[in-house]
Amino acid sequence: MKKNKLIFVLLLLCSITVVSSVGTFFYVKLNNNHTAAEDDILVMTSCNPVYIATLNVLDGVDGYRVENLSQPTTGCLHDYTLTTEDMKKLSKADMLIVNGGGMEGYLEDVMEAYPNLQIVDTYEDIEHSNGFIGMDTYLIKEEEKEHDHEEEKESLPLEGKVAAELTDEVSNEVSDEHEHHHDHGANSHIWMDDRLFKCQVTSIANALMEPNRNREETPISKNFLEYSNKLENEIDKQGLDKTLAGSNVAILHEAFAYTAQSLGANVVATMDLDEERQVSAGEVSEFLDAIRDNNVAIVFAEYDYGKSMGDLIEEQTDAKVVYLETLVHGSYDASSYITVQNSNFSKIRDIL
Amino acid sequence: MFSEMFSYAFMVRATIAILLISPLFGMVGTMIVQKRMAYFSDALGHSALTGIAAGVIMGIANTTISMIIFGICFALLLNYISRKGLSSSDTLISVFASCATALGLAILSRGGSFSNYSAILVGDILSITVAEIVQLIALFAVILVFWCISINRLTAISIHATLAKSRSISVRVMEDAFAVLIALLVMLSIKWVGILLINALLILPAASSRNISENFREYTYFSIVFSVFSGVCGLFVSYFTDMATGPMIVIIASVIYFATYIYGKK
Ligand SMILES: [Zn+2]
Ligand SMILES: [Zn+2]
Repeated sequence: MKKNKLIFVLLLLCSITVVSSVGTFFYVKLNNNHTAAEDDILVMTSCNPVYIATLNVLDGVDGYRVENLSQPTTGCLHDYTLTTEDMKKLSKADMLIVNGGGMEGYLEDVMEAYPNLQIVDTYEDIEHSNGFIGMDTYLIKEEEKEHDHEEEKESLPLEGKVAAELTDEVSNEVSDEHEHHHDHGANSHIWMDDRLFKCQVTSIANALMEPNRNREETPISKNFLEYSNKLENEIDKQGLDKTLAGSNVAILHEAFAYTAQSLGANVVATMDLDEERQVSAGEVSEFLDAIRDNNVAIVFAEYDYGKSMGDLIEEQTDAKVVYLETLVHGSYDASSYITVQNSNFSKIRDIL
Repeated sequence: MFSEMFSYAFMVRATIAILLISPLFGMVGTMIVQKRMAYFSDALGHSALTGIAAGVIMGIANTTISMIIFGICFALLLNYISRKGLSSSDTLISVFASCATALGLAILSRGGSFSNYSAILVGDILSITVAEIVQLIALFAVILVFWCISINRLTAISIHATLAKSRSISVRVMEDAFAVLIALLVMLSIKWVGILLINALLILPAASSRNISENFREYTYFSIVFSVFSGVCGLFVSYFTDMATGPMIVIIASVIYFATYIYGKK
């Protein structure tokens, strides 16, 4: 009896070991399809917008490999933790480019685990070189803006100057109406404003050019100029920046605060919906009131989490709800930033 | 293949953590199953949320401390309730647990920011730090000492209720000490096991072992073996397949449970 039991346990554990090893082996076999050169510089990116930007900057440049960390299939990036696969990749990476501004909640763990990994934080970069800071709805760091501005601009290689002027312009528009406090938990979905996205591209290009900071043309600087021009010329706001300028909008996802900003619209009501978000009845009625009181004509929402609230808004108010993409989910290729933005703008125009 | 795996510092840390904590789960689990305290440990796990919330409110940066303090208080409270011998103590415990969970959720979701804490639901063993491993080693030592000193008395209590009652004072101390230990174990491991699964890891190995054991010695040994095996096997499978570690461990522990269940029925 006693012997039988021991044999049973041994057999059980052995068969589980065998089954799980075999299963794992085939799983790995089926999923293993990377065949990149080992000595390439491995640049990891934390999210789609930064990934797209990096792909464009490094397009066709030899000696680099760009990989995106795995992306959430639902919810937003800031709820996300890294998988084992990600940690493995990071241990081999030479550089990690992140959106920053609190978007990557796991960043501290990564820094602790890989103290030698170079991390490029686009948000911080833009904030420090341009005096811009992300919004609650757009907050400005007044002190930095006033002081060492000119010299900062000088020290930026490439089109950092342009970027700096751009953010100046953006920040001047709003600087008087908002108090300034520095909050890193603020809205970090900056890529949704194409002008700030361009600053992100600049920051990435600068980081990648670091080894040869002189101004001679390199494949990277060429790519950078090309992509900047593309962003400048191919993003088509379809006159929305004139139609919506100064008008009031409401948003159901923080990210669209930057969409609104890029169109010059004022965000008068925000409700940030995602999967774990519980909305109270009071909040909903307050939100609906804000829409009515401010004559909001259009509400920007994300379909997955905003649809039911969107239906309610359309039923209870005169506002129209348009469902836009945030670029957070799914997989994208190098051209998709422009296509997604343009399709967002078309959707907005169609509904107006 | 394995040498590559251990070239990652985080995998080495995770493996050490598993080797430390899984035998404890196996050991403590036997007593939890024996004393029918599954409700208790589940409630404790959920109270971790409230502990974090309390820490956040009081502005304590290290929420592990507030979690542990709250967990210990909660464990003693639950013990007090069940000691009252009310027929409905199971219900009472789950009411307390739900209330604590709701309170924690309500506080942590202020301003819609629960997302910052959602990692605690699933846990993340790969993020374990050296300092946390040191804590686990200390806990390992404490539980081992407690176990050696008091296992006989604890078993006696769980088997002979009347005998236990006759020595009520020392029994009470013993039970409270045990509850505090469970609280410590749960709170220190919840960060990487996750609230949703921690109870499964406590219960499954012991329950599996119970299916096939005839005496206490076997019961404890098999439980520890099952626990360590599920832990290590789950970690390795999750490493190679890139799936979350906690769920993988629970899946393997469940397979063992079903197999032993069938074997025990024969
Ligand atoms: Zn979220
Ligand atoms: Zn987000």
